[in-house]
Amino acid sequence: MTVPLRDTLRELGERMPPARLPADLWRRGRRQRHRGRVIVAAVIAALLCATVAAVPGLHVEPHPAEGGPAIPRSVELPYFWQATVDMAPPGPATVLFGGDSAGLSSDPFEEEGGKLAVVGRNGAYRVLRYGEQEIRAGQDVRLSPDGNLVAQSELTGGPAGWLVVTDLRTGRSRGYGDKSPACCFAVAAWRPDSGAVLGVHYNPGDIMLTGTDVKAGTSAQYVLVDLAGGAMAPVDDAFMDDDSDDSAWLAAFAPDGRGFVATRPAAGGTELRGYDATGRRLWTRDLGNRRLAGAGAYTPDGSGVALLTIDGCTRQCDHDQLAARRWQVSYVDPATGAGREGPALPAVTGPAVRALGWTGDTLIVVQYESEDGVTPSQDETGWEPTRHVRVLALRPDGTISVALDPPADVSSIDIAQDLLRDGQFGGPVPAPSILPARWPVVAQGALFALCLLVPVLLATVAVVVVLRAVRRRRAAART
Amino acid sequence: MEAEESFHAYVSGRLAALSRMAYLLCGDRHTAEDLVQVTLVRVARHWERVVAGGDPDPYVRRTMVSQHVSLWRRRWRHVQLSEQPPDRPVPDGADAVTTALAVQAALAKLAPRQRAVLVLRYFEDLTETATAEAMRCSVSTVKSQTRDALAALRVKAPELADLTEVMS
Repeated sequence: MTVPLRDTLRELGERMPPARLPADLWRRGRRQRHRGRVIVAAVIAALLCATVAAVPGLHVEPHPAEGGPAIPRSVELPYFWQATVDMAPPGPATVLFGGDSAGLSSDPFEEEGGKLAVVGRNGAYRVLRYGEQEIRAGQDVRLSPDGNLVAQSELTGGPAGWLVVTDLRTGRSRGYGDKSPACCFAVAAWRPDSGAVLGVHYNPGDIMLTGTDVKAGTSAQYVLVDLAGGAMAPVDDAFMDDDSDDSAWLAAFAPDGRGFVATRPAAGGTELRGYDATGRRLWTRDLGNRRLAGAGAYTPDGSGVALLTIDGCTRQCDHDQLAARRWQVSYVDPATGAGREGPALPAVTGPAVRALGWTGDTLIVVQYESEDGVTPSQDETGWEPTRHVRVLALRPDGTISVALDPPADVSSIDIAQDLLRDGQFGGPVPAPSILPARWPVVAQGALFALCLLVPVLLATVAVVVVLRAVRRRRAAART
Repeated sequence: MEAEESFHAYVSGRLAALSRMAYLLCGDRHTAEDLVQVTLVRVARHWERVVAGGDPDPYVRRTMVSQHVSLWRRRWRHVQLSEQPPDRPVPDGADAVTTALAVQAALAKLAPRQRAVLVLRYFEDLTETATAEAMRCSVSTVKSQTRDALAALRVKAPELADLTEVMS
C-alpha cells in the first residue's frame, strides 16, 4: 500500500471546510422524487398507449363465445371515436345496427352524417359512416346472409356507384353501377348465397306512360346485381314510385335462391310479383293493405311466403293508432301467388313489424316502437319517428319471446341469416373496446378538451406562483 | 417527518467527511460544494430506500462518484484544451505542503474514475470490494484502475515516484 499517498490525501482533504448547503436540501430532493414519479408514470402510460395502438394483436377486444359465434342477447353502443370498418375490419358480423346515440350520429369533429355499428363475431365493434343521418340497418343498409358483406347505396369514403358493397373481412368496398347519385338506389334483398343483391334503381324526373296516362315522376325498376362479375340485370318492367317508404317490405329470396318475390305500388295498394332466379316473372297478385313480411319472408322449406296483415289503422295514423296496430302473419304460395296455409303464429302489436327470417318454425321479426311526437305523415319505420326496435321470436305455440333487446337508442337492426337460421341466439353481450380509434376524432376531441383546460391550468399556475411568493416573503421576513 | 429528521442528522454528522472526499475528487472547493449538494439532493430523493438498506454511506459514496463523473463530463465540454497545463507546480521534495500541492496537481491530470479509485482506496480506506461497489464495477476493474492510476501518477508527475511506490 502507498502509505505516503494516503497521508498526503488526508492532509489535502483537511483543507476542505464542510460544504455550504442550501436550507431546502431535503425539499429539493423530494421535488426531484415527485418529478421523477410523474415522468415515469407518463412514460409508462405513453408506452402502453403506443403499444396497444400499434400492435393489432393487443387490442383489448372480447373473444367469440364458446361453442362458436352467436347472436348476442343485446348490444352496447359504440364510442363516438370507434374505428371504421376500413380502418380495422371486424370480420364476419353478427349484428348491424343504427340509432341516435353519440356513437351512431354525427359528432362535432366530423362532417355531418350518420353511422351504423357492425358487431363482429369476435365481439369487435366498428362503424360504417354515411353522409345521411337517417340511415337504417336492415333497410337502407343490409347485412349479407353469411355476415361477410354489407350492401348500401353510398358509403362515406367509399367508391362511386349506386350500389356499394363493403367486405367486412378486408374493409374494402366495391362500387357497382354508373356514377348516379346515391339517392337513386335502394337495397331490397340479398340472394341467400351472398353473391347477388336485388335493389331498386330510381330515375327521378322520368316521364312514364301508364295505360293511357302520361305521368312525370320517379320511375323505378328492380335490378339484380351479380357481385362477382358486376353484371346488372333489370328485373321486370319499370314502375312509378309513389314516394311511400316501404323499404322494410320490398322483396325476399327463396332459401335455395331459385326464385324471389318483390313488391311494387299498385292502384289498390301493393302488388306482389313472383320471379324465377333469372328475374323472369311467374305471377302477380294484389296484396291490398297487406305487406310482404320482409326479406326473411320465405319459410325455411321455401313452400310459403309470409305476409303481414295489419289489424288497425293502415295509413296516416297517429301515435296511439300506430301503437295499437296488430300484425298477423298469413302466407302465399311462391309458385303461384295463391293464398295457402302455414304455421299459425301469434300477432304482434306495434307500429311496424319486419321479418328477418326463420329458425325452424319460429319467425324472427323486428318490432318497431314509435316516438311520442310522431305525426301521421311520417313513415312507421323511419329513422326519426322510430324510438326503439326489438327482435322477437314468434312461435307456433302462440308464445312470443325477446330474442335481442338492444339499448334504448337503437332504432334499426339487421342480423346475419346463417346465425339466425341456426337459432344461435342468447349469446353474451360484447362490450366495445376503446381501441382501435379514429385518431383524428380523438386528437380533435383532446384538442377541444385542452382548449377548455388552458384557462384552468393558467389559473392554477397563477395561484401556485402567488402562494410561493407569499411563502418566500414570510420566510425572508422571519430570517 | 421522521425521514427528514434522520436525513438531516446524517448530513450534519457526515458533511465534513463528504466534503473532503468531494474536494479530493474535484480538486477545487467550489466544484466540491456543488458535488456535495447534488449528491445529497439525490440521496434525499431516495432517502427511505437508502436507510432501509442499512448504512447510507455506500449509497452516498456511489452517488458521489457517479455524480462526480457526470459533473466532470459536463465541465469537460467547456474546457479549453492546451498542450501544457497553465501552471505546473514543481516540488522541491522536502516541503510536505509542496508535496500535497503536487499530489493535487497530479490528481487533476487523471481521468475522473482513476482519481475516484485512488480517493476511495487511499483516502476512504475502502477494500477493493467496497470500492468496486461504489464505482459500480468489478473488483478486477478496481485493481486495474488502481494500477493504471498509480502508473499514470508516476508518468504525469515523475517527481512523485517515491510517493506512489507500491508497498504491498
